[in-house]
Amino acid sequence: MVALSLVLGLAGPINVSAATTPSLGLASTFVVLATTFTRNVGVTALTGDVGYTGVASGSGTHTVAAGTDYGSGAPYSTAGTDQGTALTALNIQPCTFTFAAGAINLATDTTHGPIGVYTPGVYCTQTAAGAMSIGTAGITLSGAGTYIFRTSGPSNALTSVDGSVVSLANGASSCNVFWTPTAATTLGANTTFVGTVIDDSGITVGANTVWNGRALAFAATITTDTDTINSTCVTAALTPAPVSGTTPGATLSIVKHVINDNGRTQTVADFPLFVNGTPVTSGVTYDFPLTGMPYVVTETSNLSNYTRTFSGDCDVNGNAYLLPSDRKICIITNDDIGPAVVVPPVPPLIDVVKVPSPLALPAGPGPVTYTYTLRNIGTVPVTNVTMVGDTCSPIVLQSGDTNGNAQLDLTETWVHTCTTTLTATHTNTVVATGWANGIMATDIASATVVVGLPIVPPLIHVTKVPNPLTLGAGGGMVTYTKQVTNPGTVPLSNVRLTDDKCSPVSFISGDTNGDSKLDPTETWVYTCRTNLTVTTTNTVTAAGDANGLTARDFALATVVVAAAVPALPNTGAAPETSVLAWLAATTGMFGMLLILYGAWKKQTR
Amino acid sequence: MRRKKKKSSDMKIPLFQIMVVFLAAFDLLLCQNALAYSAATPSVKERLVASVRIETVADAPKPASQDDVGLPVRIKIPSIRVNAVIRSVGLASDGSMGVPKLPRDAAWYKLGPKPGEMGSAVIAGHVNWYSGATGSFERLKNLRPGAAITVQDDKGTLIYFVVREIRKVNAAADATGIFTSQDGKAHLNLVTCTGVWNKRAKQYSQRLVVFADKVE
Repeated sequence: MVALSLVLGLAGPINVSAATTPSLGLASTFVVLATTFTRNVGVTALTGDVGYTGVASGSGTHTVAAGTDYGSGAPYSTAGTDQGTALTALNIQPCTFTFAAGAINLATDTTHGPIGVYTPGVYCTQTAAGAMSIGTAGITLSGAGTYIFRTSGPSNALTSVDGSVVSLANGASSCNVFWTPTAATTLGANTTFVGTVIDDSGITVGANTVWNGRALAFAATITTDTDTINSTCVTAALTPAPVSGTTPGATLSIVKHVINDNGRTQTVADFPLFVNGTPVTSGVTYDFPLTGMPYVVTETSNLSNYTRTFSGDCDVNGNAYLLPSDRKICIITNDDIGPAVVVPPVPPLIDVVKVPSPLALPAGPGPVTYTYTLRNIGTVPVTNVTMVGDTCSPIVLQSGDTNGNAQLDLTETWVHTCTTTLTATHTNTVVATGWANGIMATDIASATVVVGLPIVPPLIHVTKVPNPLTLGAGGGMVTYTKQVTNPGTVPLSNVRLTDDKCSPVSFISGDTNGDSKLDPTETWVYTCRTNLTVTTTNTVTAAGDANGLTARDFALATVVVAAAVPALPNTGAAPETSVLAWLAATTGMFGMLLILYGAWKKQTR
Repeated sequence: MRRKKKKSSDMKIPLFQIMVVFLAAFDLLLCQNALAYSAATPSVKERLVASVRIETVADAPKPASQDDVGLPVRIKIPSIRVNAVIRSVGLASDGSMGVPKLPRDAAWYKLGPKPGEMGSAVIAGHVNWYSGATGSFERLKNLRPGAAITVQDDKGTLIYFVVREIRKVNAAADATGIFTSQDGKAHLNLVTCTGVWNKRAKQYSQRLVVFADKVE
């Protein structure tokens, strides 16, 4: 079933969505609404209205900003009624994800999606012992929309451990987060918390907790301890900051791929590249303002000697359309036109993986080291290896050329590194190239590092190996095997593969735990078969989502098809009769000759 | 005595001329390969076997699917008693398709499709051999349209073909139509030598080509 669902790379994440934010009525302005309000130890700072019966108790005090301490005065009672109405509106919303039976630690659960990350939806525990807790690792609510965390059954509590953090990301708002436990809520000391808790079993807040949201327990007690609770809506930035350049801008990289399978010898440098008439260099990333669309990629080339095709993010005419923060890559492939060959040259095949360390700089700018792992996944050694990075240099070869011959052999794995300092969220792209038998091997790898936000970005990696690498004249069937892996740390949802010259791309295996997410330990295998009649370079694009970000990777592979057929085979030898027959004939002939010679001599005497 | 001589002279036989003729024939026997294999005709037994054992498309079991095709290892043509190991070959030094190194083997052109794959797979076999031995495809000339051909791949799968056409072409003819096809189907084309031996070119003047289609 999973395999079927993954045909064409249409891997579907668990669908968690469609939750809506109810009206809180007059309760919306209250930061604390309780029967009894107890403030212990120090000062509890409240932003918003406050309502409770009697006199606030406890060893501490409280302050009120941007609101009124109504006590039990109007609109206290109405707010209490509205609290109940809102709870009903929340409870009637169907669960979009239900955890397994038993108590759930939201910080460690992996059944709902990436560990520690929640997208908008209604998350429910089951009735029996279905308490909900937030562990030390904390959770991130990612994406604009409504979040409802519901404990089912009559008596399931909500707790957080000391120091745990609930954070917002990618457009999530504290006013759209709701917690509806059916037993008491207890937040640990030093918790960072968001959202509205509606809990008529009581709310206890540990010391020094910072909470963006509301504590609504109209029929119960709320106890605080030197805390800060703010009902003002806080919304996380919609997306990570733009890469660089003109805002709101986007980037475009042009990658040149050359095939000389008919005897010509031109290289990348022989094809000057342009975007809207401006010279660009293959493999280098350029920032573009979002004006003057489309961007048109052109080159100086002799089309009588080379064919030209576009792939990647360009259309067939070389047009690229950019949206804000896009990171697009346009690939131009030139295949030579020359004397037809009978034996196709074997094309090279390389693979590069890039992993940044660290993956995120939540505290702000800092150094990042990229590690590039380059392998030869073809059948012939690769020479003239180059690594072109768009924003990090120098890229230094650390190890791998074990025999020191400067060619990437089949058994070698070359490791390069590059270190740079990032001041903003950034996607770095590297283009690896090499040559063999006059044909270029190209692979592209990208990696995003998030700066200033507690978001771990996803990474994805795809390799593609055709079988066979060469075909005789007329072509034939080729099977492409594609392996998709996750070099990052967060599982990827909605993994999808597209191949510009082969379909359908069929999922074969790899989702070992059946969760439809590409985990870091998994390798997902896809295949695609197609009939090729001419030399073809195709591009597969793999993409996956996590933490509100999308990771992409490309893989290029060339299959060379011969353009001429051989001459017919010479399957015959000089015809001979049998040895015995030959001996008999020659002996008879010789004997007859002797007789004739004797008779002739006698006749002439 | 003189009379007797005269009588002998009257009965003189042209022995010298006869001897010259014999010498010429002897020379021909020694120097010329007059008994061309292409002129050979099948024996009665061969004809009988061919007529009795010929297979038809209807006899063939379900073929292997396109995805399962392995490397060809053996070819059988029951109607003409061909049972040959298949070797993979590429090109000979003169740019022609390679040939098997042993007379009883057949050769598959490995730069083209495998038998059973879409396109035209080509298998060649010798018609004869230097010692006077017969080649694996010596009896290919006896094949008739409708005959069955079986190729076994290295997975043990049998792939079935049926003969569609048999044609003689010049040795130097354009072989595009033999090595390629564009109808999206799987074909198998068998090639061997025929025609007249050309001593200068060291090959026969023609090729016998059997065009067969995969049994779908």
